[in-house]
Amino acid sequence: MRIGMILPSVLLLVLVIYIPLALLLLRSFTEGTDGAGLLSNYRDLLASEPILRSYLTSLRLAFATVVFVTLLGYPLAYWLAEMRARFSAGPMLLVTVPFWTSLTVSIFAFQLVLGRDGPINRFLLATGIVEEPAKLLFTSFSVVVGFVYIGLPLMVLPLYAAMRNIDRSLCLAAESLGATPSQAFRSVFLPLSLPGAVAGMTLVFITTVGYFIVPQLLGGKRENIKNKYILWTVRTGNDVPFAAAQTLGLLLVVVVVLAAVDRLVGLKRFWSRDI
Amino acid sequence: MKNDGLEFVGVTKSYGDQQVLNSLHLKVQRGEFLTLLGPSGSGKTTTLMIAAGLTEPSGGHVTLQGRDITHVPPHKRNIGVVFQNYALFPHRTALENIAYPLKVRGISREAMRRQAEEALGLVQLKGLGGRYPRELSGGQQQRVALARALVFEPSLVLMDEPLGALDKKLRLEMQIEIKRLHEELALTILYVTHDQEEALAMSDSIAVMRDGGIEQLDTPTVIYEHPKTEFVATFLGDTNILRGVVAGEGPTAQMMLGDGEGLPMVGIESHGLLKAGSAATAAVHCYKVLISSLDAPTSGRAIVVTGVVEETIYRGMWWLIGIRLASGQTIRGIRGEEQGAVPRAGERVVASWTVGDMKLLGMRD
Amino acid sequence: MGRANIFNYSLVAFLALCFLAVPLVIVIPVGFSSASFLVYPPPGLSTRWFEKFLTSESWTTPFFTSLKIATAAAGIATVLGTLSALGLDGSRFRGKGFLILFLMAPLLIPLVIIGIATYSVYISVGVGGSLLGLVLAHALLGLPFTFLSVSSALSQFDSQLRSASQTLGASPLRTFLEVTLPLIATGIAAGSVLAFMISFNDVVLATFLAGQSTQTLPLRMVAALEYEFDPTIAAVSTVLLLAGLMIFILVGMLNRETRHERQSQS
Repeated sequence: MRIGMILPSVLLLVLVIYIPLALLLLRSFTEGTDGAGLLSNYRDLLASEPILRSYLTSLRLAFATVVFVTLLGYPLAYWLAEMRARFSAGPMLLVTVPFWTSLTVSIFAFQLVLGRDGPINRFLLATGIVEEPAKLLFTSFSVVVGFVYIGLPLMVLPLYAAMRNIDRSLCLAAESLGATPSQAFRSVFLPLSLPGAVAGMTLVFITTVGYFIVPQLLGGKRENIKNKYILWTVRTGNDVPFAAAQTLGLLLVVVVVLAAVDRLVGLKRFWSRDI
Repeated sequence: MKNDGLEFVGVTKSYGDQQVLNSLHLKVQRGEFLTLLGPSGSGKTTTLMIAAGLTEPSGGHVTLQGRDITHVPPHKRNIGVVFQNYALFPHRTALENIAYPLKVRGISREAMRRQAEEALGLVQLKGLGGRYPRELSGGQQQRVALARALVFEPSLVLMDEPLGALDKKLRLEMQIEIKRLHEELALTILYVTHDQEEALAMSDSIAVMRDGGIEQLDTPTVIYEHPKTEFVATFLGDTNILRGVVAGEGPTAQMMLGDGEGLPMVGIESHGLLKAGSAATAAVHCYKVLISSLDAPTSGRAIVVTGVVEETIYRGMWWLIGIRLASGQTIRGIRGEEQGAVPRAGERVVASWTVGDMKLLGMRD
Repeated sequence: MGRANIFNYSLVAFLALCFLAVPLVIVIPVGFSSASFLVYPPPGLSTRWFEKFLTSESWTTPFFTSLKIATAAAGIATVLGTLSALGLDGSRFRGKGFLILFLMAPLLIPLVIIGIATYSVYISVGVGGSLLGLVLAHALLGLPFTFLSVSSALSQFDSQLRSASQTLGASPLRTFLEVTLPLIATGIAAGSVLAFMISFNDVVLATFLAGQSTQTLPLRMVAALEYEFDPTIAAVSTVLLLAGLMIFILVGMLNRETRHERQSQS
């Protein structure tokens, strides 16, 4: 009976997601472009300089995003965690805005803000910092801004949860033993909040690498973000197997990075949470 | 004799290789208030859960009023259960909670309301039926839980440490309440607790449990005055245990505690069984041991030993004083306020008691 | 508490919040702009772009399409998520963690990859661009959320209540209907609302899986971003933002009410 209850979900997942993924995997290995042989996709992949360069760019941007999300998100989570729960509801709502708004809305908003006639450029012109409107859109900068926006809740929420679980009396104990407040923070609070921070960073990293719409509308031709390349290939070139190979390359990169992080930090314990 | 109560026949329960119940045999007579008393891990709650049908035994069977209920699901057993944490439905009012078992049995709305109100009155909560559990105090919640378990006139009532979460005063009040209901409604009750005072106060019989089995099953007085084993004696609290070797026989029989110290055994229960050379264990309640100064009279009390005071504990009515005897063994006795100043640590005092208050617990060759 | 004097964290926190508020602060005023092109701050106020949104078929059709898809997807996600949560509740077996990970996959695997994979299979099966295909994909996107929401409600649920109900004479089914369900109802509701929003707002999967007849509102908005330049899109965004805000507050209140109701001890 119990198994019967989970079965429909599992079945649907297998049919709509897992099997297609497996097939994609398979095709990427077996179907080369224009009938070429096994593994030809991967050979082409490794030989293609623009594709490899775009992998690097995506990684670079993803790391930059994680860094900025952490710099912004950690203090924010800390500030929220220090408040009484009642008062944190309002700001928390703000934090989750990227969650319940469509990507298109967020992109539209940043397009306005970073555009040539946007408030930022107006401000820069008015104060004389630049002489003509700066090109803020369609740059690495705008891409990272977009990703940081989407990534903030993914960092703040797990971090907040982790921080609230930290026993405050531990810090007080440290101070009573002679530590200054910032020492207590660094030696007690910070390490304890680390698992939550790592969870957030991992989530942000995975999500960032996985999105393409944002770069398509905010990123420029010069960036050739990995995913944009995929989309183009799929919709216009109809070379699905090659697109699959690129996709897989992306997935592989994600897995490698996660494995590396796991080595350092031990990610598996996050999944042993008893739900 | 017709079995119209609850009976456990050879019931065992194990989780993996952990044996929780070991071939349990127990009979609860109809109308009896039987308490399972023991430390945590003794198996008493498991026994109750098996009776309720919430746990399946690994072996043996259970009968209720002659009918085998071992594999009958809980909702068909017609047994009332009162849980330690009340388990009141938070989304229903007190009255609705009480009416629940009636509703489930398809009783008409009219009758349901009437019976539920009656039950509410029975536990003296009239007028509070419209409140939700979170609006009631702990004691009131417990009463609702009681009423709910009784309203459908079950053939057996199981109670799992129901008073554990209440403060002392409330606990005493509720003990009287439950006892009253037991008599008024002629209920058959299987009660679980680790509180010996509670067990002594309420039960018709007490089964002292330990490690999955019953050490002793008797009335409260017998359990208290004539414990069969050291475990039962110490579990019922404030008991001294003395160990020694039997020397001599008949009128000269003594229990040697060590270092030449000996206690006369003449007149002790099972005197005739004393065999020289065997190791013996004796128990005497702290309240039967009087601590007095060296020169005070010890009239009537045949057993007199001296020792050095190690600790003194104030208990309001008296002082509990622990002393170390010559043999190194320690015992505790009491000293009333009227006897003058309380002896201090290091002082030499006398502890005395009558042979009749001492029980021989066991002998080994 | 170890006050971090390393840098003034409250300032950074405040900046972060400002950053998060940007869309709200920018988009909503522009939605009310009286100008016919996108400019911030708007020169004057007018509601004509809202009128355009509500009266133009090229906007209302995708809106209703999204509504239909989101409702269906949320419904499926709720049923599946609730069943799964109930099925796994309280059980402890070796593969449980793995099974949960299995259910959470749509959250972890980059949406782009799911999009491509599902898209290619749909094409070969012949359902590329179909409504059902998109609904199913969205349902699976929402499944982790409904599952987590109901699981969380169940974990707060005192299983002794279930035992009590049974000893009082209620069969397992009756117990579920009278005791379990009412107490996890808010968890189910919160989860399904979340699943609805996720489906409604989704842009990535829709890009791959939608066809001519299944243009969703977000897709319509993407087109507007690339080819149209009047504030209608801001008006639509405003509506979505405010609706989302209200729904999220609703979910928050539901969760708080659950916790309140759950307290059976004062």
